[in-house]
Amino acid sequence: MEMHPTLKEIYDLVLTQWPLVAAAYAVLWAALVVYIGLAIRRLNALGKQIEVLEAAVERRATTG
Amino acid sequence: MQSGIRRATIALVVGGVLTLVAFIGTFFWAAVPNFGFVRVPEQVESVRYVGPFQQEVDEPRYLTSYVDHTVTVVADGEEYEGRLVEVSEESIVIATDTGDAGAPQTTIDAADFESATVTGFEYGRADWGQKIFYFHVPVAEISFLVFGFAAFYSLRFIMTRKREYDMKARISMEVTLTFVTLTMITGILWTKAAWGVWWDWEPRLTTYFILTLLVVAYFVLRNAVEDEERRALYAAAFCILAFVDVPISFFITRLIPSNHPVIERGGLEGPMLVTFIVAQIGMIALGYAIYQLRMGEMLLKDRLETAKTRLEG
Repeated sequence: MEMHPTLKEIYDLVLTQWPLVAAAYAVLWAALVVYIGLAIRRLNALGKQIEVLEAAVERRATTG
Repeated sequence: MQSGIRRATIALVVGGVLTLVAFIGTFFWAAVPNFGFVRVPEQVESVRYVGPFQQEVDEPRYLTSYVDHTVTVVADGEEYEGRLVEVSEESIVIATDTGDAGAPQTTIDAADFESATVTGFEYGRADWGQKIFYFHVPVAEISFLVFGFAAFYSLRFIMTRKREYDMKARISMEVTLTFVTLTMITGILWTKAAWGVWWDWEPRLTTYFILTLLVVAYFVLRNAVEDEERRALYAAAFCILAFVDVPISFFITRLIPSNHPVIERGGLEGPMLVTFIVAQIGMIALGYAIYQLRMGEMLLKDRLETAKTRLEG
């Protein structure tokens, strides 16, 4: 059975919304995950640097 | 500092779980509303049946939209009922379905037209673009909220001149920038899905665009001033002034005519409302987690600088 032209138009309109919805969620999740991921990574890197530096400060203090 | 990281971790887990639940709710629980309606002659399963309709038409040209519908036309004092076959500037053709094999169609002179009543069925068109709403609105709300915190910390800085408040205001503005950017992107995609255009200079979009520029300008200002004390003071003053746009952007859709939808009391049914609230709480938790993570990073940088100074000294 051939689809009525009006219905075909409706389906086309509805389907064209899908890529926009997918793009909105993809951008949202990707941005949040990347932003949070980078913040955690920088935090870990800083933590390691501080450990090394504070150990060096401690060593210097004990060795005089 | 450790407690800040702990708070960030908890907020991250809570926010992550809630936004995931809201995401599932958005696509598997909350109903898809109708994006307007259409009047088609046949009922087909996958287009939602809304109900019957009856439309009065006072000019023949308006009948062109209703070919194949059942019409009752009054012309030259007489009434004709049947299926509308054709409408032109000169005539209206109706299949009167009278059973008279010799005259299955009646042609009415358009000049004699007085009025017509069209009857048929209405069908809803699924509005998938509305799915963007569940996260677009919470993200926009967080941008307003965190901007409020930035303005508050800026005010505290001006009052106390403590560096701590300047740092809190700057981090709040960073979070604001993140959420403003996400609001703009998801909003533009929704605009295209709902209105068929990428942008419209209507009140909400225009005031929010100004807000985005103000948030960007805040960081431009910070980078332009070298002296730390002056930079913090100018940025704080600018942040408070820029915050004026937040209530304007928020209330403008309620004050002047705007195409932008407004959530009204009772406007969302059960699953939609629950999903929306869960998404809101989840986004608040994620916003808080980002703030705490960036705050932790700044405090660690301070500690690093102190350790370096001690080592050099």
